[in-house]
Amino acid sequence: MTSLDSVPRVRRGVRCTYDKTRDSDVVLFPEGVLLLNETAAAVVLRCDGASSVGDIALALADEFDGVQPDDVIELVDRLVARRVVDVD
Amino acid sequence: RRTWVKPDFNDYDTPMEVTAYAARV
Repeated sequence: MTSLDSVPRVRRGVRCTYDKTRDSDVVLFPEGVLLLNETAAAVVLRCDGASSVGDIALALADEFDGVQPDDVIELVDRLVARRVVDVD
Repeated sequence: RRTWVKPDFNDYDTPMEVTAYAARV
């Protein structure tokens, strides 16, 4: 279970990129593709293996109004379940 | 500054969905 102290990191073999055709950020990984919305992309781009979930939520607060840390935790949990992100 | 919306993603993970995705890249 992810907490604010968890440190997420994008797994090897996973690539985050921008899909011009769909005008959307995407995550490409061996088993499939995830089309991210704007806030999900902002979270994934910060999963660098150094920032905790709490750090990520704080950083996002500079860009977005009304950031909910619980939303970030829930997203990281879903990404872990999809084997896109590892959590230390 | 942008308004926070709940982070979400669409998951394409079946072979048919991945093929359909790749066909439009």
